[in-house]
Amino acid sequence: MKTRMKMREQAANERIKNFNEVALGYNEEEAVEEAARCLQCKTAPCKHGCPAQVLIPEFILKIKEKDFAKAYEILKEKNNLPAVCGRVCPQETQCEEKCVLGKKGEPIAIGRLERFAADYGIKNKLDKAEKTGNGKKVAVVGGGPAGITCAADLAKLGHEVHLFEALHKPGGVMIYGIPEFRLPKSIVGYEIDSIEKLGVKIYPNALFGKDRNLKDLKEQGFDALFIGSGAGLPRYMNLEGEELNSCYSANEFLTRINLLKAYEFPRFKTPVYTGKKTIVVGGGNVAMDAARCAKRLGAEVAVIYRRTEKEMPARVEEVHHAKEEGIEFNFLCNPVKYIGDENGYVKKAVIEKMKLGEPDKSGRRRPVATGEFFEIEADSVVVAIGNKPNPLIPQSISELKTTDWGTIEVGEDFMTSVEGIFAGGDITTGAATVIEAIGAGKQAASSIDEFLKNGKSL
Amino acid sequence: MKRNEILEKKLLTDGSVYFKLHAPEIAKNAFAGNFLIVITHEGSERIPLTIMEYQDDWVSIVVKPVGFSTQEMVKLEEGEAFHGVLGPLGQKMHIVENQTVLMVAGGVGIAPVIPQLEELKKHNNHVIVIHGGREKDAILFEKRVNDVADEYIICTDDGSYGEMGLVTDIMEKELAEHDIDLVITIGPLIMMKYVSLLSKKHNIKTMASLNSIMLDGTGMCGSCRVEYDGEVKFACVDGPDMDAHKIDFDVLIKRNSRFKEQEDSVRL
Ligand SMILES: Cc1cc2nc3c(=O)[nH]c(=O)nc-3n(C[C@H](O)[C@H](O)[C@H](O)COP(=O)(O)OP(=O)(O)OC[C@H]3O[C@@H](n4cnc5c(N)ncnc54)[C@H](O)[C@@H]3O)c2cc1C
Ligand SMILES: Cc1cc2nc3c(=O)[nH]c(=O)nc-3n(C[C@H](O)[C@H](O)[C@H](O)COP(=O)(O)OP(=O)(O)OC[C@H]3O[C@@H](n4cnc5c(N)ncnc54)[C@H](O)[C@@H]3O)c2cc1C
Ligand code: SF4
Ligand code: SF4
Ligand code: FES
Repeated sequence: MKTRMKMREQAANERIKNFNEVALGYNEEEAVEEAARCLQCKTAPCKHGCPAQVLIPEFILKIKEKDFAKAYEILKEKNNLPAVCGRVCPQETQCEEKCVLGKKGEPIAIGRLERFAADYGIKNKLDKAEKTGNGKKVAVVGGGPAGITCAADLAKLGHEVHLFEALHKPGGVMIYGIPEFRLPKSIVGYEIDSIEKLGVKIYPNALFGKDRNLKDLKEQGFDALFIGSGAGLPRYMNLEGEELNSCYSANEFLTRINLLKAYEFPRFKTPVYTGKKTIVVGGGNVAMDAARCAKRLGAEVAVIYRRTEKEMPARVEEVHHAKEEGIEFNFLCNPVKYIGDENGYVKKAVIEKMKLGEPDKSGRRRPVATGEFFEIEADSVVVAIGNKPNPLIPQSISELKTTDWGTIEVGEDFMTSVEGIFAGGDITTGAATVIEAIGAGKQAASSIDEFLKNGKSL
Repeated sequence: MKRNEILEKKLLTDGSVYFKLHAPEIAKNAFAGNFLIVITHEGSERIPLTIMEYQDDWVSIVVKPVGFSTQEMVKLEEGEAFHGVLGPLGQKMHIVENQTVLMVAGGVGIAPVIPQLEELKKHNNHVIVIHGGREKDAILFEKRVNDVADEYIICTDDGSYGEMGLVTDIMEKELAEHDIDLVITIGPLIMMKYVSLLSKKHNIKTMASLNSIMLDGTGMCGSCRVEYDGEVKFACVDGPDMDAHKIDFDVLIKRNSRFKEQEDSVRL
């Protein structure tokens, strides 16, 4: 069979009226049938496409044999958050891109199978809170995928772990950025509960660098520190009109909607305003999420992207879903200014047409201005052109070496320039992916364990 | 004791509420000028409030109930706890030594003036405080301010207490009589705008405490952004106290009404 098993989805005209999950997952028969397509290649090229080296043929084989519990166990060996990754990994450029079946037909739906086995594990409560020995005391800063993974692994290794998260709910981008319809918050909640069951002590509303610092940690007897604080600083384009009332950074727009549930206003009291039409600037996952949220709030949505569809960094599935939902795409377009009404709300955007020029360093053809302009009427704008690391932690620990991009420098063992301080995830790589953050958290945990075993400390 | 537990609650004459909270980490690291993000119940809005006092293992805040979230907040009683309190956030106040400082407060803005006033006195400054309110009931913490300030002038819109007139009227007189080195202003945006225009005319450095609409309070969202000397700054991390002469108050005033329609629809 050359084609993969389809996944059931909420119909586009229905789902734009709610925030429920779009993709509904495989049932047992569907999963087993898809798993049966896997050739169980000895060399497992798929595995090399996964940043965390998930044991792909091995877990798929267990699904085929209907031993779903074992499949879950195998997944968990390399990936602490398979239910998340099965949903949000850009599989088409990672594991599935390398699958041999993709050469002549469709690659195995690795992500969907991962999601299936992980949901099975969660539903049947297969996670055991197993800990060994009594160990050292480690602080983890940041409750995103990197921090959660690092905390869980250290706790399993018997260490006392305290996790400090700035927001009132841990989860990082998985809770405040990625919307419910793509990643149900109950899944993130389950993962948080399971690390608490492992004994990790979670402190929400704890901003490292402000309410505690390195000195406090040393006084309180912490032996090591892991920093997984992400890349949460919004970028603007510095255009005229960006100060207007209804112009948001994607972070603000998504945090209002996802973390603070503005889509259930007035039941929840945090407001958000879109008006009749929203413009979203950018072409990544963040832009797709913002566009699809605005749609669900009742707005017409136009995405403005300065290159062509081919260069869009967003996952193919997200773009496909966005199009099905009636979101309009304007490629080779770039906003140059926003014009407001007398009360300070956006009224229209002035857009410049672009064309593709020579390839830049990333190999993608550079967009070049044409000097041709047009206007789009809109009531709100979401700027989704990327994020930078927050400087707070490097500022509070001045010895930490950072790069010109503001990321924290680490060695192969994820140790920073300060002995006993480790870092991983978006804070070291710049905005990347969930699975890369998980991989970093995992490897850092094992380096930290090694460091502590050698009797060293902060 | 629970985290964020209310140790003391007092109703003030203008309807505002004073809360003393158990918050050891915050108390230990706080300084005049810092603020908190307070979440009343799970699912409530994240509301920024200035720290008034910080000692031992507690901090205090004064909340004026103006809309749903602050109205919901003042219903909490002693022994209950806020769902979440984050802080201390923002920069420390701007400190000077051996100078003459004019502090101009409007309404409940007197609460955040108090820690700054006390800090300025520790640094040997001569401090004049002008506090304006709509009527007599709006004049809070009178004795407390009087005990610390070198000069203290109260004014009310209707003349029901202290002098009659706006803070800027009184300010004009003070500027004529004293050589002021620094102006600090905390209160409604419109008041701070006029205080700033006046001090600019006299070329006196002025710090205003910006109360733009915030969400995370940590520099992550840009909701609080202000136009500062042609640049974009985030009031929650670069402020809240910022050089008033560089602030575009007209943009800020518009931005602070950006959710007015929704806010009005849920006010109690
Ligand atoms: C809208 C959006 C959609 C995305 N979609 C996808 C996708 O589909 N697939 C994919 O693979 N990736 C996606 N990504 C990227 C992915 O989410 C990130 O790469 C990943 O979350 C990084 O994990 P992290 O643990 O390093 O950081 P984060 O998830 O950013 O978590 C960092 C945490 O640290 C906290 N923190 C920061 N500073 C402090 C401090 N001083 N003290 C205490 N806590 C602090 C933050 O509040 C945050 O909770 C998306 C990103 C966004 C924004
Ligand atoms: C740094 C800072 C310190 C502050 N200190 C104090 C204080 O010590 N005591 C006090 O009583 N008030 C203080 N405020 C103002 C207080 O945060 C607002 O009154 C409160 O958020 C209003 O919320 P609401 O739902 O009750 O009213 P709403 O009806 O929602 O809003 C009333 C007005 O308050 C402003 N506002 C609304 N939401 C926010 C928000 N999330 N952040 C900031 N402003 C908002 C808007 O201008 C709005 O029009 C401070 C604000 C800031 C930014
Ligand atoms: S974690 Fe992501 S990249 Fe790795 S196998 Fe799973 S879906 Fe593929
Ligand atoms: S490459 Fe594809 S077919 Fe081969 S083992 Fe991996 S998933 Fe199965
Ligand atoms: S409140 Fe979000 S950046 Fe200031």
